[in-house]
Order: sequence, then C-alpha cells, then structure tokens
Amino acid sequence: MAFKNGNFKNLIVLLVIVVLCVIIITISFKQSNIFQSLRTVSLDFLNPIQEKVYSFFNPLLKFFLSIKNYIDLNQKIELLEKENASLLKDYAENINLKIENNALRKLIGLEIRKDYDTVPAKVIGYYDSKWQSEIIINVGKTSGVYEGMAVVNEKGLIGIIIASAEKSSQVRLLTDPQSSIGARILSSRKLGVVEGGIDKLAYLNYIKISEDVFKGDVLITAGLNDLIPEGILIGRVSKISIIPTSPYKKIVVDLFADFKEVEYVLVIKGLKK
Amino acid sequence: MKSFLKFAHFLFVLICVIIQISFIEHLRIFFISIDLILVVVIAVALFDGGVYGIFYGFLAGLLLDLVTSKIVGVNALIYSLIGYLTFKIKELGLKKTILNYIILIFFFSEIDILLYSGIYYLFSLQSSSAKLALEMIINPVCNILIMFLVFPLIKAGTVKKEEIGFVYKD
Repeated sequence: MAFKNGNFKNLIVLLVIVVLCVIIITISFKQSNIFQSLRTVSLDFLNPIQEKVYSFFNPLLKFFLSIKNYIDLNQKIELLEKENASLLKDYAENINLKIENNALRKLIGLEIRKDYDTVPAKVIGYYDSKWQSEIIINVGKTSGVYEGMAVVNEKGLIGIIIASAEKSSQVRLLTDPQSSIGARILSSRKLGVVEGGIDKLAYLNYIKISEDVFKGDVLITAGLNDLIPEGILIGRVSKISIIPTSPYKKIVVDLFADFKEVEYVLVIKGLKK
Repeated sequence: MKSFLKFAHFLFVLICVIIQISFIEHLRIFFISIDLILVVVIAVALFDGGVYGIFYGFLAGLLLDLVTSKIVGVNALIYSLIGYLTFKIKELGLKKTILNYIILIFFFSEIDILLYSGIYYLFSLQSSSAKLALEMIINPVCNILIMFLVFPLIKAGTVKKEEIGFVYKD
C-alpha cells in the first residue's frame, strides 16, 4: 500500500470536502433558496458576537481613520466652506419653494409629501473585496426590515438590503459591482442607472451621447421601485467621457455617502402613515 | 487535554472568522489586506494535523461564504485545499524554521488569491487586474506579519511532546 494510513485518511477527507464544496458552489450559483435561509441563520447566529467585536475594535478603526483624515484636513475645510456657502443659499431658497409647493399642492388637491418611516441601525460588519462591497447592520425582520429596502445616512443613499435575518441584515453598497439603482439627474430630470464597478467607483449608465450632462450635476433616486423612494441624494457627476464604440456616455459618479466612515444608518421602510 | 486543545483551536478559528468580518475587512480602507483565516488554517494544519486543517478550513470558509460571499463554497474549497497542501508539505519534511513558515505563508497567500480570482473568473464575474496585482503584493506581506501573532497561539501546547522526542521515536 503506497499510502500511509494517516495520509490516506487526509486524502479521503479532502476528496469528500472537495465534492461537497463543488455541489455547494453549483447550488449557490443557481441562487437556491436553501442558501438564502442558511445565510439568514448564520447572520442571526453571528449578530450578537459580531456586534461586540465591532464595538471592541471600533476605537482602533476610528483612530486609523482620524490619522487618514488629518492628512487631508486643509483641503477638506476649503471644500466644506465653499459647499457650506452654496448650501446656505440653497436652503433659504428651498424653504420658500417648499412652502410654495405645499400651498400649490393644496390648491390643486394633491397630497402633501409625507416623511419616511425609518429604522435606525448600527453597522456591525463590513466586507469589501474585488467583487463585492457590503455592510452588515444590526436590524432585521423583527424591526420590519426586509430585502429591497433602501439604506441611507445623513449624506444620502448607502445601498439596498439584500438579505434580512431576524436581527441583522446584509446591505449591498452602491459601489458593489452588482448594485444597480434607477437615478435621475436633478437639473435635467433625465433617467439613468447608477451601477457599481469593479474599480470600486459608481457609474451613471445609459445616458445617450446626445444627452447633456455636466460635471457637478446632482443625482437623486428615480423612485421607479416602490421600496426606494424618489429624491434621495446619490452623488454628483465627477467625470464624463465618451467611448467611441458605445452609444452611451461613461459617467463617473462621486457618491455623497462615504462608506468608509459609515457607522449609523437609517433603513427606509416606506412613507409615514 | 489533546481534544480540549483541538476544541480551543476550533473556537479560535470561529473567533478569527468574526474578527475578519467585523474588523479586518475595514482595514482595506487603508490598503491593508489581511487573510487571518488563511494564516490560522495553515497554522492548524502544521501543528494539529492535516484532517484538522482541512476540516477547520472548510468550516471557516463556509461560514465566511455564508455571511459575506456572492458564491457560497468558494472560500470553503480554497481553505480546505490549503489545509491539505500545508500538511503535505510538512510531511515532505519541511523544517520548522521561521524562514520556511514565511515562504509557506507567502506561497499560499498567492495561491489563495489566484484560486479565488480564477473561480470567480470561471463564473464570469469581472476582475480588475491592477487591483489583483496590488493585492498579490500587499496581502502576503500582511499575512506574514500576522503569522507572528497567530502561530505562537496555535503552537502553544501542541509541539511539546514532539520536541522531547516521544512522538517520532521508533
């Protein structure tokens, strides 16, 4: 017998596991429901431990982030001052427009816009590889959070819930290559789709070459999906280029929300009743 | 005592999966890419044996896949293969020196990245070659550094008998 006893045992164990893995990969690639429920079970199982581990390491992460932020502090202050001045002007205008809009809506019998019903959540996990960008949050089905709901923070849209367990949920970030959200250019009202890229950037796709888009244009959600309300801020057009072989423009979007610093988020459950 | 140690190592692997998801993945923001589970699986295969390397690699990979990955089973397959290969290399007469461990971690880190990318490529998921190249440089270096933390923890209590000559004495 060429094999030593121990070697043979190892080889058998390996073969069994390899066959098992190949079966699992095949079933998983067909997006079977078995793994969706297994995913939710493991999210629930890990949730309490993960929350504690995340809280434990959070000060260390914050420390690293503060060093990174300190390096480009001056540039950030300059940008924020400019943005603040422009926002103050817009704010005053918006208040007047809101009052005017509500008055006009009342006049023509339309319902006044309602606020959203939201659930606050804490980020307890983060996964960022070449093929995916996801976070895990500490709310789930028990708080009324389900697949497809939008996740936002004070800066804008973060992503969409893709798996919801009892007490935690998986959120696909806008930079994930599989992320795809209907978007509208605020100024021209044109529709496009914001999709993630493998280079961790977000792109506004399906905007024809003949259509006008300008650097700095603000993008909001289009509201084509019932679970993602219209008008949530997404980002700003940062680069526009034309590819000779494509009928569409290549538009890079600078997202408002900074995923690296996301700590608390809100899940939008729908309009307030 | 021996089975208690194996159980302790199993718990350690589970903790490492949680640390990987909750903390280490965040470090990618600072271009630090560490595969803690890979290092632990190699350590277990070296100090506990091949079966444990394969089995713990499978469990840790499966859990990681379930919580984070697009395709379940990829990490489970890669980690169990690495567990087995590590043990085979040890069986071929790998000397227990730090340099050998460094080479082993470097080699398997590269294998891990290439296998993972290869499997995803087979499933038609795109990949950025520039990012892959960057990861192939950063990841092994970070894994080697983390090895100095993980190896002593797994090694503690497992090699005493071997060192005083009870195990391999004919």
